[in-house]
Amino acid sequence: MSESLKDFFAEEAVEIFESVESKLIAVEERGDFTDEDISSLFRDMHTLKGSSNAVGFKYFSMFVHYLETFMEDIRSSKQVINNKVIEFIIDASDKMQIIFHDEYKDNLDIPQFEVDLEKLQKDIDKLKKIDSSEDVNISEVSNNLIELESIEDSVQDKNIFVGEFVDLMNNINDSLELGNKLDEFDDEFLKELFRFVHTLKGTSLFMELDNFSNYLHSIETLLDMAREKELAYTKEINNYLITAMAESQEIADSEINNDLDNDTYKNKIKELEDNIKKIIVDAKLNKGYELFHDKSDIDDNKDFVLFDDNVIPDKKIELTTKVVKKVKKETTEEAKKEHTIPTEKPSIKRMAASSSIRVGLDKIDFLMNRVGDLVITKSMLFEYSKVLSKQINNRGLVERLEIIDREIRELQEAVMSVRMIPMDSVYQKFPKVIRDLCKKLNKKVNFIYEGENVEIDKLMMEGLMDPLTHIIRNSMDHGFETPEQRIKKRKDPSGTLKISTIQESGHIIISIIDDGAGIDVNKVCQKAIESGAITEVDSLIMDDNEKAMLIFAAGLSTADEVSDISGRGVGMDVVQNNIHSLGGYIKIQTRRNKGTTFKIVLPLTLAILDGLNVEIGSQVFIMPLNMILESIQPTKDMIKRIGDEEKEILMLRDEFIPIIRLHEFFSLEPRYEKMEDAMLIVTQIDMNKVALLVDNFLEKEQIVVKSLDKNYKKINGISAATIRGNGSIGLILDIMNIVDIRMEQSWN
Amino acid sequence: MELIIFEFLNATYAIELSKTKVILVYKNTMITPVAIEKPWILGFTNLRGEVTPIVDLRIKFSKIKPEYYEDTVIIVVKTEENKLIGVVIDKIKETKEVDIDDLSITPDMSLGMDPKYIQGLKKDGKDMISILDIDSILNIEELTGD
Repeated sequence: MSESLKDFFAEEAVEIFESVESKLIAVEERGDFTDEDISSLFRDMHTLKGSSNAVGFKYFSMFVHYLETFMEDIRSSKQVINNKVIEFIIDASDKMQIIFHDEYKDNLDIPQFEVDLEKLQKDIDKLKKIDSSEDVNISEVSNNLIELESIEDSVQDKNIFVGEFVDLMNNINDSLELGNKLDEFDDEFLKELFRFVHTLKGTSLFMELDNFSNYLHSIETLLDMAREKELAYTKEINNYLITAMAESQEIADSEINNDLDNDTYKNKIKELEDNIKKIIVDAKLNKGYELFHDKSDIDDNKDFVLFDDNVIPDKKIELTTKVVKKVKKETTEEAKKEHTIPTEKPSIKRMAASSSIRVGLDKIDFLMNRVGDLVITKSMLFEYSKVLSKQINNRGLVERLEIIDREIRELQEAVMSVRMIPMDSVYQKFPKVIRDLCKKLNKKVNFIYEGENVEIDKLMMEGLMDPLTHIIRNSMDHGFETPEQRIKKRKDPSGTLKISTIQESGHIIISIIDDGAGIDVNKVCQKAIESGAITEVDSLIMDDNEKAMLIFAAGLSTADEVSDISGRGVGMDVVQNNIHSLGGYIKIQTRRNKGTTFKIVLPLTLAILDGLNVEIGSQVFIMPLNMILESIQPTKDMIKRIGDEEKEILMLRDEFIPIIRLHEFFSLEPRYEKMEDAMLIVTQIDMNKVALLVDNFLEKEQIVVKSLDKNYKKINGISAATIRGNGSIGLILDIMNIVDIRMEQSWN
Repeated sequence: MELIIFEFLNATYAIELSKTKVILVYKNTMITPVAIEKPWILGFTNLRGEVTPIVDLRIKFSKIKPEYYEDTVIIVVKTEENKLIGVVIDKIKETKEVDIDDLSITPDMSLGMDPKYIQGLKKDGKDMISILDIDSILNIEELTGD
């Protein structure tokens, strides 16, 4: 196990220790243990055990295991709580930290550890035997209160659940959608669906979405019966569940927003239960019918309120009958009060809701555009102050403008960061897609991804989802061979699909690499000639990668038969169009029987970047600042030539770097005849350095990126445009594109 | 159909008024040139925050070097591709309501430009007005192709 992973876990562990300590100290001071405390401590122990085991903390993980079990006992009310228990947990967690540090430093005294572990077990056993009668008081107090103190801790947890909740919801919907297309439902499908619903129910309980979880419970029961083959799962049931899940989403939404109407909810759950009842009766299974009969009795009962907001979970009721009766009475009354004046009591849910809000992307975009305008206005102001400074001394004005500049910059970064999300959320969608396709196509493919922490613009991510899915589906369908074919080719029977994202020189580069059959470029070429996309003469001068690019031509498909996965010839052209509209481009490298790599190059953001104004002939262009490695004014002996007099190489220290004359590229007249009078900007693309010849550097400028596609189209060598301080349009150099084009030209 | 009628290459042309968005005075417009594009793509201007290409179709349709005067204007058109494109013309004459059913058939010979660019012809006193099919002229592929 790698050291960095251990260090990473150590950081996490220390955080958890701190949180455990502060929780325990608060508990000791208050003298009571709330449900929240217990659940949260249990989760901490659980996380510690799981992660430590994964990174190789064997002994520590063993020790924590006992604590976890003990917490679980408390949680499920098998173990009563008293002061001794609290004290014990505090002592044990101290010991736990010592063991952790020793094991981390590799100097754990193992015989001593075994003594400690034995003592721990004995202590736990002793505590279990203590009579519970004296402890009723503490328990009672804890049952009645949802302590304010515990709220803060739990808010954090709840936010974690939201993500999980959404994922599970998506998983269920995806599964049901898939089910719609299946002819028969195998065990695995039903088990998976059941597991998703079951987990979602659990998650929703943590989020205190009790009504929603109640609703799910009925669906879960139905799936459980299907799983146990007590009833036959049919397409009709699948279809009904799609509607029911949509319904449940609404319930969850309104419950999260605290505006769930109790009557509507009751109607909905009644309807659901009636429907499910009907399904089960139709399946002629009496056992299931009774089960639901009981359930609806509960609903008709006035005690239904017990399952509602802010009521203690029923597991507490088992504690002692005396307490339970009292508590039940009180909480029922309290809960009723809750519904009439819902704002009086602090609700965890409300607090969780206030720590994050959902905002429409259009609002953020609007904000973004306004900030963009502000940046432009600021540039205009700067420009004007320069004009002014020729007339009067305006030192004070410049200083103040610099403050504004800094503040606008910070504002801009803040607004930008709202839109950034990690690639992880893109990757998440694919394992399932790949798994499903593997089954369908009888292929074996391992999915690997890298760069899940690279952040990209949310808007960009949305535009990227479809192209990526298309490319993956295509690779799965056409790229990978079946295991048998792969064995024949002496390849590993399971293929590997890898996605990696890196941020390099002002671009986001996403590579989708498969080790499948590669693209049959001649077949693609043939189809392209047939469809008239290219002529035969064209095809003669194209290399393999260029031919592979033809798969992006509209209406081209190499699939001889159309399947529902791919092969209709729509899609790959959409892929390219989508990526172009994001200001990026796509490249293919393919080798027969070795595999195919799709490389998507995107601008870092859709919005704002720092640029350096460079003079090329009579025009001023903008070079993205992060592309510049260094800039030099070359001396005569630094310029070397090989063969052709027109092509130069820069000798910089020990490196030989090709020079591109940007004037030539943009058909402009250079200002200086000799290269020594001009400037060279050294930049790096894909590990290769390139020097760009410009006439002069001007000032740095922060620019708002505006797409050229919107009213025009992509121009060679230009990635986008911007509006300058004087109101004119500035053009942003697309260095990568310039280098690509030059490279092609020099090879031909 | 209301038309905006203008002079262009020593003849009278028209565009549907509803397709035009703004009219700019050429000499007051800052245009950033892009030399590597087709010669009739003059460059880009900032139209209320939008990066708008400006084209001089006189260069595309004629070999005579165009001249720019005080009253040379740019008609900014919203095309069916939803793009804003500015077109340089010599002089705006008037706007006029025209019955669209009343158009004469365009002959397919003796035309100085591809007949697909002409929507129809209309007699106006001694003059002939050629109503341009501006969407087809300003189609990006068409405009930037050879």
